Amino acid sequence: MTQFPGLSRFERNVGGALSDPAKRGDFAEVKPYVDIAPGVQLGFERGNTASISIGEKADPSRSPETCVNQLVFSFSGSSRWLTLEIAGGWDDLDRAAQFQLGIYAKPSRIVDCRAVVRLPLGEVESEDVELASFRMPDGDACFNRTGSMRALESRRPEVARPPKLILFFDNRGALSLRLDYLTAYFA
Amino acid sequence: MINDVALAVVTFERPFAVQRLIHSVRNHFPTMPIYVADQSAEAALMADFYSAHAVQVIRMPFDAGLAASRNALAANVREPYLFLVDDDFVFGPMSDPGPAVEILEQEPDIGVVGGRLHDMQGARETVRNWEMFLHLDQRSRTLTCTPIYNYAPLRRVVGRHVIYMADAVLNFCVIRKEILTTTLWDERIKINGEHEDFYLNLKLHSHWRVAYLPTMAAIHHHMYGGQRYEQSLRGRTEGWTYILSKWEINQHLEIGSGTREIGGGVGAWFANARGERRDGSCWESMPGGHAQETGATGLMNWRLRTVDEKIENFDETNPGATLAFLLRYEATGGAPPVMEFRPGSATADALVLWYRLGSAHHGPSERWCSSVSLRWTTADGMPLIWKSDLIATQPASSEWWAAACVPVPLWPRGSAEIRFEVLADSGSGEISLGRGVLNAANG
Repeated sequence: MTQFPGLSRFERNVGGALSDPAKRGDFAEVKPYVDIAPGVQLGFERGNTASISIGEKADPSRSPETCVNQLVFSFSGSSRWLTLEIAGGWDDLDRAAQFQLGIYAKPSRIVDCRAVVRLPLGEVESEDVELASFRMPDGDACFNRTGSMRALESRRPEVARPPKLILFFDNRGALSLRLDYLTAYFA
Repeated sequence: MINDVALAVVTFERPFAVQRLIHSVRNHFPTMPIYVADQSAEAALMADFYSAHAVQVIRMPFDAGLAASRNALAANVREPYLFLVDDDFVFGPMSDPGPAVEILEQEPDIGVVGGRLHDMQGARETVRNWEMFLHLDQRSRTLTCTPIYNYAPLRRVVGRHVIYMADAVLNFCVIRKEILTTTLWDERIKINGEHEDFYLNLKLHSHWRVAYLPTMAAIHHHMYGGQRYEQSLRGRTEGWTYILSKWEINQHLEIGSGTREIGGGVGAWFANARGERRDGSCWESMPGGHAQETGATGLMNWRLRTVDEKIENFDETNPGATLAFLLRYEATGGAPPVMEFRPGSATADALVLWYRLGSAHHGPSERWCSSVSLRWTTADGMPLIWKSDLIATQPASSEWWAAACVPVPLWPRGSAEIRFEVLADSGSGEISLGRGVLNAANG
């Protein structure tokens, strides 16, 4: 397996799906909130399914050499939300006040997105820290944003659940999205 | 006539902006005299560019201030008319100052003729329409700036031109040099407030009139200069405080924007976001509006849906010629373009990137190379930004350095340096144009 040395655990988790040739496979149906790669999930209302495939990347310029795959997910069901959720580590967010986010993807249609960091507060509760809202065109898209966010407190090791980077996609219609690469780190 | 008017511009820590302006001016007015008062800390890298474009440089002390720099222009310009502009403007064929000079020559009471500015912010375009009447009320200690559009138009027909009288116009204007023998900018103001102060002086202490000529037009496209420029330099409010005190004003009302007041945070308007009535609709609804008066200027159809489209459409007589350099990098000789880099000034969020063509590729033929972007990594190659947004590059040469303002990614914790690589899309893949390193000391 090719290790993907991301700056943050968020990047390492998504890189795990994009850097391992052994993970390639045809379209498979997935249920919500089930790992499609370690620490990476799709979120939508229960009763629906999405399909994913991991294949060899078509355009070598879209991601580093260590990323040999591209991940495609498609959702055409009925859900009030559709998310891509990537688990990270508390250490990445320790007293962070700024973020750097990069998403390299190709959606099947123009799609409005919102990126948040979800911080678990206990067993059930959580709070969201807004990072950015943006629109991706229907084609190869590179979204990069450097920004400030509400300053976070120091780590919460007592909370078992990890923080998550969540990308919300609008639910205006069926969406197929090819994810080429993602960067997310904090300082 | 074009050689009787000199472009006069002040620039400060935005070489990429003034280069863009000069390219656009030279594109349409190749013989117009150009004077630049440059108050940047580092101007040596601009010397070859200024020389190649026949720019007469007035080297100012660092942060000398807008007012002192404009006064230096007034003292140095030899032509009878100054065409005052800001460094983040872009010219097109409609920016021709000739009609303004005609008006000044035919109307001896008029000292200033201002033009129409199209503000571009992202894909949004508005007409600024900051043409004002100034009312200083000493008893109430107020200064009121009223857009001329709130009155029935005070129009004059001068030959084939229609102008509208005002007390103040934007800093896109042709000024009779003669008026600057008695009215100058107050050098105690570095930035903000010097404009209102100048026009108040002109109104109250001279006989000169001010006119607005809407058919003379240019684009104002603010170029981000990094946090240091935006907050520490451009955003300073001492000038406002000073002019309120100087004119013994407690409140400065700009109708349509809001009110500044002594002790109330003079840097911000308190009511009404700027731009409420600045979309040109007010003007166009005026009886005798210029579109009907002068006809066939094309200005009323001068609309855009996107920035790119505006860029391509700006020069209506030669589509695509004016601002193409914003999006394209000029390479030569058919060989892979090579860029040389020089260290530039950097702040926490922006880097001034100086580049020029490698001399081996300088030649007569041209090839457009689009999609220039930056890849940022840590020193050990960890990607920070895999592919940046396009950077605004200029036509390059091996003879002079061009500048671009590049956003710097969030500095990762514990990193002493970060690196970048400039990439161009050749159509069949990426070409590396050059690499650079940014040390923490720079940031």
